[in-house]
Amino acid sequence: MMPLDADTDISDDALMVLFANGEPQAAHLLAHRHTGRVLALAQRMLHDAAEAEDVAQDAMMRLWKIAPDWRQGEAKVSTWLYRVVSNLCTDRLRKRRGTGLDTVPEPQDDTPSVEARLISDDRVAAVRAAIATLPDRQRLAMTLRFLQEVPNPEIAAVMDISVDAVESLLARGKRALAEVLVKQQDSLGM
Amino acid sequence: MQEHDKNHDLDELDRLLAVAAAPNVPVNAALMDRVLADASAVQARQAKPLPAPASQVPLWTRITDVLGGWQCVSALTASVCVGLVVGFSAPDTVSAFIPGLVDGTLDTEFGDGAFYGADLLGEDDA
Repeated sequence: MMPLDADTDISDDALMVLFANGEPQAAHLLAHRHTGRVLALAQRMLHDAAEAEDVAQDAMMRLWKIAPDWRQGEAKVSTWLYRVVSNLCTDRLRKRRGTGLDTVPEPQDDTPSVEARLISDDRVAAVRAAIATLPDRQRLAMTLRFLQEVPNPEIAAVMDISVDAVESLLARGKRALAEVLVKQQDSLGM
Repeated sequence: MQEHDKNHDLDELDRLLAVAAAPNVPVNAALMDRVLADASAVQARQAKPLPAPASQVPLWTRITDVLGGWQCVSALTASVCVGLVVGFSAPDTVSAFIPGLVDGTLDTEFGDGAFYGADLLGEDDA
């Protein structure tokens, strides 16, 4: 079989067919294309590196299993994966809330050190940390739109809501984010 | 003035969000290995079974099976033989068994009436 180049233009749909036909390189290409995105979203939703890895692995496993039944042209692989990850993360967040605060892992500390606060990168870290404080649905929409750079129609598909509802969530999310950041303005030098 | 400040804050937020965007994060080798191992395992499970090799069963056995087995073939053969025997047998063989049937002299009297073999064969009495 023809070797698949890492920079190939083969579409995700075609790779899914190749995977279902037993082509091992299709798995490599799909894994390298999507695992980083999946992991990024899981980390931003859960703020726990180990849990995020578990979710990323679980989401990719579900992708492998659905390959023989994949319907080309119906959904993008990335949209499908984001949807799976958001559902898995939502389940885990609900369980956390049900288990009490003592068993909840400490969120990763995104607060910049006193010295580092003068550095621009820490303002970016502050924005990411502020997004993490938003309510679940706002956080998911804001993360997908601004951190994962997913277009609004795709976010609507991931969250199973209308594009108007996505725009509304993003507008409220930005207002809430601005309020959080304004409170930190002095300490962050913004 | 406050409106201006608010717009400035949102502009600054947009700029920061644009810088903060990072759709991908580096994936450590251990996680990638686990993901690829899962893929291999799933592919192995989903692999379609290879088509069975061309049948080694002899043609005669396959024909026999189609007809219902050797018992059915034996019965069929016997029936064909009997049919051929009956079909090719000369009429005098019948006369030997039933004398008078063919020449019309067969006496077949029942009760009050009587008729001859010729009646049976449709010949005129005259």
